[in-house]
Amino acid sequence: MTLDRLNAGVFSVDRQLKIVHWNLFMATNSGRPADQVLGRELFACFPELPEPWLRWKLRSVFLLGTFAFSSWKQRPYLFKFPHNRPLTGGIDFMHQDIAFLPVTAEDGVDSVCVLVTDATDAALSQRALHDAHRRLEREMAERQRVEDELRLAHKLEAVGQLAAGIAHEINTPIQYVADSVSFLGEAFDDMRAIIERHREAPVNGAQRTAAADSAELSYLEHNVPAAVDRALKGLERVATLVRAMKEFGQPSVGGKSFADLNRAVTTTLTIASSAYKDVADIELELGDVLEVPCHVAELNQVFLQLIVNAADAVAEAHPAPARGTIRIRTWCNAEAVFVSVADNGTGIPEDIRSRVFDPFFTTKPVGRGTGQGLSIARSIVVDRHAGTLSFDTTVGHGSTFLVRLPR
Amino acid sequence: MRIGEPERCDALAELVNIGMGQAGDALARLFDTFIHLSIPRLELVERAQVSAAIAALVDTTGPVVAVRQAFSSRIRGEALAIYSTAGCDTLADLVGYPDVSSDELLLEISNILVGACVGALASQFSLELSFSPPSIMADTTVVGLLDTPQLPWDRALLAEVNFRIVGRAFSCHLLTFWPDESIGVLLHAVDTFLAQL
Repeated sequence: MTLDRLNAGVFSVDRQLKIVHWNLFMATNSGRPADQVLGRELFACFPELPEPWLRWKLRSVFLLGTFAFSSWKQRPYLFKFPHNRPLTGGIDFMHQDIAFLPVTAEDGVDSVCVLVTDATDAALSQRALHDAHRRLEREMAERQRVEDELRLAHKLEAVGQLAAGIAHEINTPIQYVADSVSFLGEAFDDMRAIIERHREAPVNGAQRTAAADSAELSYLEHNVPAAVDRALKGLERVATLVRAMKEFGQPSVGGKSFADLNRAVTTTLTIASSAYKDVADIELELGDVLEVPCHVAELNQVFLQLIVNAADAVAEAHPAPARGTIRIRTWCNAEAVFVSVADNGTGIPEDIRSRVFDPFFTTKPVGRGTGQGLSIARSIVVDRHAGTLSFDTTVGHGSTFLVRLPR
Repeated sequence: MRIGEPERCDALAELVNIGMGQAGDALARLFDTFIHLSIPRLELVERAQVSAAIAALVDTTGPVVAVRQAFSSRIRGEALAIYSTAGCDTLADLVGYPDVSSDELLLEISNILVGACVGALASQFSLELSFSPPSIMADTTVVGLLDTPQLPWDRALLAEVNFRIVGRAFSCHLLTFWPDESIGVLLHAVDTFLAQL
């Protein structure tokens, strides 16, 4: 019979769910020949079948006269048939797609034909695809982790290169805080001596003592507040530096968060001051920039790189004692926030312009640059923020780097 | 709709109406609950306008889940069952078996709605249909459901009906498309029906 030659299971049940047809595929795979099952109730023959589910399917077909389906993706199999891979294996049972077809007579649906299709190969292919997808996801996560580590390593390297300058920046105010506090100590001793003299001075000597002390008191009155002011300013400067270092060094964890880019720029300027203060004057033009969703610690790294590069270009174009200018601007429009870093340094020669964002490309002497800075800066802006990092340059006049971040 | 003389349009609308009514009755018996069906809407849509037409019928710009299912005989077409993102989760107790996953429930309910409605409609035109298994389309928005440049037809007859189950937060828009040459077969069936009156 033709149905017996099909490489698919075909069987039918009537309204009492008695089996009225059972093809060779079903007989072979179930181990139950047709003469053992025909005329018997389906669930009596196969009590292991998922009865509530199968009854619902059959009922819907009898009642509506429509098709019903089940995919191996939702229910791997209806019958626990052996799979078709006795040699290669890799799966527990034959995976099956099931179709329920109404067989109609004059008075409606009188039986339901059930088609059991072997979907094992499709299931294995899908599993392989799924496994490959998972592997790809893991590899992408690993690549992301390595990129994050590289960015962090570069950031630490940049901070390390600035460390001596930052130490100097901290040491200078600490020095005049120490001087001022020392002066205040001496001033206090002098004042205590004056007070002692006033307590012990004889009445007839009071006139001479008061005149001498008046001069000293006048000196202290003038210089003590100035020393206190110097000490406070020095401490404030140290506090600013420490705060900036803390903000700059914050690790970038989790997703983006809203941050003030003007603050990021000023923080980075504080950190980088040792790189530019001897070679360039800063012109800072901070616009009314709304906070943007970003990885601010990573953007700090971008701004640091652009400022250090600008300082290097300016130093080369304007040897000491001359000074150049670095102009930093922020502004925004409806779509994006912009940060530009412009210098009047050497400019970038035309033959290397196409390579400035290439990893490991550098024009700096050995020990001054690894060639990673602009490459990582571009990756941070483009890959992490869907922004752009571009530049405009004229040899002998300077360069302007523009960061554009979508709002 | 502009598919010929008014008598033809009226007859087609009436046949669709009767088919959907029968489907609603059968579904009510299957689920043992009252099903509310909207009056079917028929529209002839050009390929370029199909996404806008679907958006207007479904009336949402938010995310949706959808299931597609093809049917064929002398006419070929495809049905889309479109749900809010909640899908069919609230109907788990209506199917008579436990441990049903969201995807399986979505496919089950969609197959039943499509089978009942398109099947009942086909029977009005004396057409025997066979159906493909249903498949879930990616979670998307209504306008993102169909990739318009990829559609292999120029115009299609679109029938839309909205299902609600009384007392439950469930709603489904069922859209049935008969593209290009199937429109002619469908209209010929309408003409045959009219000639028998």
